[in-house]
Amino acid sequence: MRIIVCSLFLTVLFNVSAYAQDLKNDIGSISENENPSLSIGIVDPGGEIVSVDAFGLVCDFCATAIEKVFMRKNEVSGLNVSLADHQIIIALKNGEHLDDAEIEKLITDSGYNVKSIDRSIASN
Amino acid sequence: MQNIFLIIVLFVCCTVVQARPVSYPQAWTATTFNDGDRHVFNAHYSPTAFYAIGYNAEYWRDDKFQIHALHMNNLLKRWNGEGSQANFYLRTGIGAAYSDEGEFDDHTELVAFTGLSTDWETRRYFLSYQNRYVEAGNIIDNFSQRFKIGIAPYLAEYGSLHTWLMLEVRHAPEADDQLVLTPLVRLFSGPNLLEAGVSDDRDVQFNFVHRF
Repeated sequence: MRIIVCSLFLTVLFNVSAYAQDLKNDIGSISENENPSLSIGIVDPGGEIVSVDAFGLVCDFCATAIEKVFMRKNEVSGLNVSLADHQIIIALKNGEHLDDAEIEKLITDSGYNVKSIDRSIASN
Repeated sequence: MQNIFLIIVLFVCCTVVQARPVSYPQAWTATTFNDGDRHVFNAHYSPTAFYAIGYNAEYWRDDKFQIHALHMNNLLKRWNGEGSQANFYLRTGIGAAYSDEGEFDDHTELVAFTGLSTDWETRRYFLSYQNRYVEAGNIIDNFSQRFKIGIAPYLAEYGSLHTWLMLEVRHAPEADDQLVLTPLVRLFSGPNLLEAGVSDDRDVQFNFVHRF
């Protein structure tokens, strides 16, 4: 009985996986001419946008952790975490700044690691 | 006493989903777990992302005893990859076990438990293993281990509904049924995680986790 249950489950599991279509979601993607869409908060006009590529972001608990930790900071106006792109978009308030070392510390203290930080994105 | 505990458990839903026993800094986690052996309610606080302290309450259905314990979960090591994560945890607890069944009627013992758990996951695949040893004098002396494998049939973004199909194998050398298989469906979105399944012993398993 156990072998049958196990075999049936694994068969269903791998068939569903093989035929299911991946859902792609463009939340957090940035084109050159538009502000990023955020999962929480807003893009403050004139505020700095920081893009962070991170290691270890695999599930909603990870994304929730990053969101909660950064949204506690007064400098942050909004945020997006993309699991597909392993990317964190941080929107800062106009006139506020978070340096790379502080961003890296917040991410490391949350249990994740930074791959790179990009500050070349400007908000409109 | 037993009725109060059962009401609490039913209120919160029912089993400790053992995935991710430590949360992000200054976060609370509430968990319920119910399977053929026990009902568990667990609440813990994570001062940092590397350890959590909290309260663990259990009711063992067949042996009819309760455990109330303070527990600590430590993230001993995390490996973060690009699109993957692996963890190694130590979990310990100490408290009181109370039995109101048979020869141990109205009997209270000091209880201690410890165990290791490890997991590896990507957005598509999940593997975990955990073991646990519980001792409470004459009331219980129990070792058990669980292995879980899962796959996500589709990939969803943060905040969308994530669905996982999982199979759990539970091995308890001292149990009547030493090996129990439980196919599970995991539904996961934001701070909420729910698992439900029916074992080959026809016992329902229902787990729920919420992070604050």
